[in-house]
Amino acid sequence: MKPGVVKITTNPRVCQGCRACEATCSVFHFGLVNPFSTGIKIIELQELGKFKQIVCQQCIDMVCAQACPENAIVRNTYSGAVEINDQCTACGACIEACPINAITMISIDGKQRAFKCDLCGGAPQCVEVCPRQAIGW
Amino acid sequence: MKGYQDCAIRVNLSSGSITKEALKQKYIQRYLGGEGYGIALLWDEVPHKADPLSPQNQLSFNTGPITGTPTPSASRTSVVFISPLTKTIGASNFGSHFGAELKFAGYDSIIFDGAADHPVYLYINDAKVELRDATHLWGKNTRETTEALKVELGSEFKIVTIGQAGEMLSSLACIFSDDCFAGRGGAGAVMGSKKLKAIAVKGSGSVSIADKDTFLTIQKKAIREIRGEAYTWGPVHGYGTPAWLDGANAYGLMPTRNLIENSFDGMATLLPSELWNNTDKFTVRRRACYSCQLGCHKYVVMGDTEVGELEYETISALGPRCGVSDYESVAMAGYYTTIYGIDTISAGSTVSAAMEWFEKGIIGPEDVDGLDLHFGNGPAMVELIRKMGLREGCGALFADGSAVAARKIGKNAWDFTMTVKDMEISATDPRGASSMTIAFGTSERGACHMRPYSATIDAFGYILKDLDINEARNPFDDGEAKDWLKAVKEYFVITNQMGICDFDVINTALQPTTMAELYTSVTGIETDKTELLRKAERLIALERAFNFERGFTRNDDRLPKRFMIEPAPFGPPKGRVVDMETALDRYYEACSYDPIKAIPTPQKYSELGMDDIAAIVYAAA
Repeated sequence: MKPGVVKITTNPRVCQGCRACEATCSVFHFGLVNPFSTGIKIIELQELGKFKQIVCQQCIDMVCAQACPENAIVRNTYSGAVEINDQCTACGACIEACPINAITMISIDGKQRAFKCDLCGGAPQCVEVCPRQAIGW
Repeated sequence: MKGYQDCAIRVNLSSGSITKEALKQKYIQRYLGGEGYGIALLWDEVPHKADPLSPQNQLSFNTGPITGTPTPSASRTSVVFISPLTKTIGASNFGSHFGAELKFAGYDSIIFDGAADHPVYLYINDAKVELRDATHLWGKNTRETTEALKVELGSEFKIVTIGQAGEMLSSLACIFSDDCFAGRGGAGAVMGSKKLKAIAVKGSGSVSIADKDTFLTIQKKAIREIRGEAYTWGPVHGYGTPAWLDGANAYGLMPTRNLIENSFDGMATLLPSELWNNTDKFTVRRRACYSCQLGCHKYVVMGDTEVGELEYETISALGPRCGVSDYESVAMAGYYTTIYGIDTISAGSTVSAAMEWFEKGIIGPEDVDGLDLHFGNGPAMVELIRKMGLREGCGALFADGSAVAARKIGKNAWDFTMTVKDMEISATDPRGASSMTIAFGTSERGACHMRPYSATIDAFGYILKDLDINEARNPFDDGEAKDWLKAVKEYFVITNQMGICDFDVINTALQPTTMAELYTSVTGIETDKTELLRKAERLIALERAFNFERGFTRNDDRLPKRFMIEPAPFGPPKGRVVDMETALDRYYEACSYDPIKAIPTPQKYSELGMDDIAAIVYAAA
């Protein structure tokens, strides 16, 4: 897969802010609904009814991977997604490096790690549940 | 027990004590949760004859087990109280993102007892729960309060609040949460009587799910059902609830000029296209509730006025019902109901009743501060709504609804008051659909269009094979067996218990079987369609028992006389009057109710496993 081609595309103009994408992401990856354990984030702007969608764009230059001291961030050659593997030590360097704030620190079973969109292995669940086609791939 | 957080916050406003308690398993087994949980608490803990505005009344906010999950429309929070408007049980639910945030903070319910001696608000940030002073918020409208709290605490907080109407104990006052409302029954007045101005919640915890893989499969099935229903995924998905205006008008279901007529000649200028296409006058942005597929919720801006939401019921009550056909007046009146926090349906209906009293000479210009209250006078309607919101001048006369106003006015004002149990009939003319005659009449919280909205089945001809409704029903036959209506009512009520929105089921999109599968996959508690609907049947039986204890019987299940003596003038129901007694008999038979007491028979209570309830109501009788 060509790097940076497959990614979640966003269309904030039609986003209705229901956050079905956030919750579904959380359930798919962790089996529970947590507003912070999610690879996609919807934020309502000052002007009510306008939203910002934050999700990893699977950048070609992978600044997060360059910043990672553990080399825990690599591109999945099958899905094209930039993934954080189990070597993550939760140092937060990738979060600092990401230009669009698409990486979050989460806590699973008391253990911290960085988490971001991994395209659900190739068929993003958030896109499937979005009722307004505000996200696509 | 997944799905549930198994924790409720109990706040005694009189003493200021805050405790946390586990959910009562008995309530969950019997009534599932949400509205069911609140009513069960009310039954067990509140004196059955308590005054709605006294500290004895209890106000609870109850999410369901599904609330907060990515199930379509899993956003609802049920507010339960004794209603100051109807004096029956009060159960009113709202969407927004509040319920989900409350679940994330780790709680299913918030229960308020007693009353504070000065304005307070409840602050919830995960485990930290505090009562804080709200003197600086008292007197602010709903938008200002929300804004002030977001500045004070942070924009991530989800807020519910009341406006001036709630503070001044208007029986029409509602609770506001990001332009969603717990509208009917005066929940805002109960909150005001407790001096509780707002609740602010932020959560960072999780809602657990029992079986992730099954849940994700059933979630997709539910989404497919919603996207597969043509009307839900077409006009309603596009325009929101105003999409129903055209159809209801054509089928003779549109209450017009205080229900003298059942179809409005000026509807063309109130259709959704007027709002969406008129871009130089209106800006419309979508602002959906949590996890909603439909996204009916909009945010309308008209010039400098941030109107907020304009629903089917709002437009119908403030438009056709008052004979008003200009969109600006409807939007402006809608804006006042939003910021002062009053129920649009009852407010519009009260104005329409006042207009009929005015036209019939029962009240004169001196009673309404010189307003010219003829049907169709938009600016006068807007002004009266504004006065009602602030209880200013003649507004005080109407601020508690048309039934209270009619009693104050006397003469023959009552004959033109379109209420059941003192709650104004919402935007469906019962002459156009026999099942709505019963729905409005027998609704446990007064004339309500959501218990159930069955006109979909009989007037619009939907079928629902999952509930054995295999053929279109005759909407004009009050004498037919109403077993199907009993099933549809349970189908609607169960949504309030689960924490999902009625709009999933209003066009029969989400199937009862799917709802049962969702419940099982989230909570891990085995159930099926029959057991699920039985939990709704139990809740309805408990609500009727509570109302019976408060003196409500068959006599209170009747519609106003107008529908029995004045034939519908337009559309398919033209010439039809309602045969109320037959309709009630057929429904009571279907539900195994005592025909006079209008509560389930002792045998029925026993069959539902509610002998303890029967012992109390039948002992009292």
